[in-house]
Amino acid sequence: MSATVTTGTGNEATGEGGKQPPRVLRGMAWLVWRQHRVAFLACLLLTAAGVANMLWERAATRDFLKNPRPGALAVDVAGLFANSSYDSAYQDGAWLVTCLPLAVGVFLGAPLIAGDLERGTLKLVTTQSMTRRHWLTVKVAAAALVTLVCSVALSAVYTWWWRPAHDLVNTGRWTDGVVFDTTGPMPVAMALLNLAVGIAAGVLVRRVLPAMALTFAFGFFVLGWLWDGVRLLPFTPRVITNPVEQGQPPVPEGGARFDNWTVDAHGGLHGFGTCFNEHTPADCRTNQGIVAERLDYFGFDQMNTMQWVDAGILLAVTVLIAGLTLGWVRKRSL
Amino acid sequence: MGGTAPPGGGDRWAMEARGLGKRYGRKWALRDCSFRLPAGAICGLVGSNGAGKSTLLSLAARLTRPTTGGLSLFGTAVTEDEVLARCAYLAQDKPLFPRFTVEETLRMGAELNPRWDRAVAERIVRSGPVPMGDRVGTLSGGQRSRLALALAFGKRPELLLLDEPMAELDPLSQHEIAGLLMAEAAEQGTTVLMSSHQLADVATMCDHLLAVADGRVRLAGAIDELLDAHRLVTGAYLVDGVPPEIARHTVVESRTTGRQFTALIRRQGPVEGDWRATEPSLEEVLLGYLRSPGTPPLLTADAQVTDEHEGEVAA
Repeated sequence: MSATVTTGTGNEATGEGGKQPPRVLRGMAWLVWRQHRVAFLACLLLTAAGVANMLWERAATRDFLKNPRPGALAVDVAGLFANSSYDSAYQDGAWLVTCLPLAVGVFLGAPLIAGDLERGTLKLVTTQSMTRRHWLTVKVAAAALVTLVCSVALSAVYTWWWRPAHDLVNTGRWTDGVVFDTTGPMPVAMALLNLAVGIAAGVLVRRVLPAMALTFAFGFFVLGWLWDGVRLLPFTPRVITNPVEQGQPPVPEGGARFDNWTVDAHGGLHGFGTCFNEHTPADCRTNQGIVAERLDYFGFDQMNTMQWVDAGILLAVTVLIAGLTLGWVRKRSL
Repeated sequence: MGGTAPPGGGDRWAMEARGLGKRYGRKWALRDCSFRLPAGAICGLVGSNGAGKSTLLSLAARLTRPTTGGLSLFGTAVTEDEVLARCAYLAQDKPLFPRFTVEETLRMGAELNPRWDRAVAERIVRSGPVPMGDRVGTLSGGQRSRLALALAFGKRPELLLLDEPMAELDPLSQHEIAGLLMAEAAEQGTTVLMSSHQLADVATMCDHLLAVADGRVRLAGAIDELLDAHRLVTGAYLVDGVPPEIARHTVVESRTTGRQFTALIRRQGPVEGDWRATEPSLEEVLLGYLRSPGTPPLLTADAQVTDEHEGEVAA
C-alpha cells in the first residue's frame, strides 16, 4: 500500500540531500555524461588549472621580455633567460601540454568502451531502444569533444605564451618535440590520436587496466620516441653554404639548426667534424679537398606549415584507427 | 491450441526463425534452426551448456548477427532497428552500472526508451523493497535482479528475453523473482523466452518449450502438446530388441532392466498390445531427446515454420 501513496516522491534522495539537478542532458547524452563524468570533469578542471597557471606565467614573462635589461645584447638576454625561473616555467608548461595527450588516451580513451565490455554493461545499453551505432556515436563524440576543448585551450594558451619568447625557449630550437609538439595544432592532433588508440586498445583487450597500460606504452614510446625520428622527415631544410675560411654559417634569426656539413670542391658532403680534431686542420682540409661549410636549417616561417602537415599526418592515422575500431565494434558479437 | 495467441498478421508470432545459423570461427553455435514462438507464450529454452541457448537469445537481442538465415520478431526482421524497442533482454550476469544509484538506473531506462513506463518500473523496485538512493554496487543479488527486471518491464516490451534469470540467486530470491516475473508478464501480456537449467522452473512457469542440443532444435511447441505426443510404455521383455508393437512408433529411448522393457515413444496412433502406457513428465521427455541425438526433432504444428503466407495461417 505504501507504494501507491509514495508516488511522486522521486526526490526523496536519502544519501545526498537536495540532488535533483535540472534535466539538461537527455537520452544517450545523459547516460554518457553520467557514466564518464568523473573523467570528463577531471580533464576539464585540470585544463582550466593549467590554462590559469599559464596565463599567470605569461603576464610575468611579458614584463621580462619587454624589458630584460636596458641595452643588453641578445646573447645576454638568452643567458639571463636560461638562468631565470621563466625558463623552468616554460618547461613546466610544455610538460603539461605533453602530458595532456597521454592523459586523454589513458583516462578517457582506454576505459571508454573497455569499461562497458568488462562489466557487460554494453549488453545492457545496446539492448535498450537505441541502436549500437547511436550509442557509439554519442560516446565517441563526447570523448572527442572533451579532448578537443582541453587540447585546443591548452595549446592555444601555451602557444600564445611561447610565441614572444620563441627564440629563447629551449634555446630557440623549435624543431625539438618540446616546442614543436606542444604548440599550434600538434597537441590537438596528438590528443585525438591518443584518444583513438586508447579506444582501440580498450576494444582489443576488453579490460580497462591492460588497455590503459597499452595506451600509455603507445603514447610514451611511439609518440615519445619513434615520432622524434619521423617529425622532420617530410620536410626539406634550407641550405646556407660558406667558404671554409668563414667558418660555420650562423643560424638565421628564429631558425632551427638541422645539420652541418663540410663540402669538397665536387660538391661531395662530409661530416661537419671532418678535420676538426687534427693538429693542422687547414692541411687536413686541403688534403680532403674541403672548400666550404654548409648549414641545413629550418626557418621560423616554415614552422607553421610543418606543424599543420605533421598534424594532418597524425589525424589521418587517427581517422584510420578510429574508423577500423568503430566499424568493428558496430559489427562484433557481444 | 494456440488460444493465447492474438489473431492476425505478423504479430501472431513473437519469434520466427528460418534456417537460422550462427558460426563462431569454425564452430557452429546454432545451425539451421527453424521454429516459431506464438505471441503470449511463456517459453522455456532448455539444453545443455554450449547447446546454443545464449546464442539464440543474443541473436534475438541484436547482440550478435546471424551467419545464415533470418530471425524476425513480431513479423519484423531482427536486423531492423525498430525491433529494439519491442523486446527487452536480460543477460545472465544482469549487468548494471555499479556506481549508479537505483534512481539513476531507472532514469537511464527513461532516457533510452521512448515507451518507458515509469510507474511500472518504480512499482517493481519499491515492492522489493530496493531503496532508491542506494548505489547498485551495494545491492544484494535479489535486489539487483529486481532492478534489472524493473528496467526490462519499464521498457514495456512485447517480448522479454531472459538468459538464466534465476541462476546465482538464493532460493528465496528465486521464488520472489519468479513470482514477479510471472505476475508482470501476465499483466502486460508479455511474451517471454527464458533459458534455464532448472527443469522444475520451466515446468511450473512455462507453457511452451524450446529445447536445443548441439545448435539444433530438438523440441518446440506447447508443453501440453509435446507431452501428449509421447508415451512412456512399460512391459515384459520377451523378444530381443525393440518389440514390434513398440517399433511402430518413434522410439526416442528404450532400456531393459531384467525382464522389464521401458521406452519413451512418440505415438503414431494408439499403443497396442500388453503395455502400460503413461504420459511422461516434462523431464523424461526432455532428457530422452537430449540423450538421443538420433531421434528426429519434434515441432508441434504451432511451432513449425510453414511457407504459406500469414493470411492463410491465420485463417
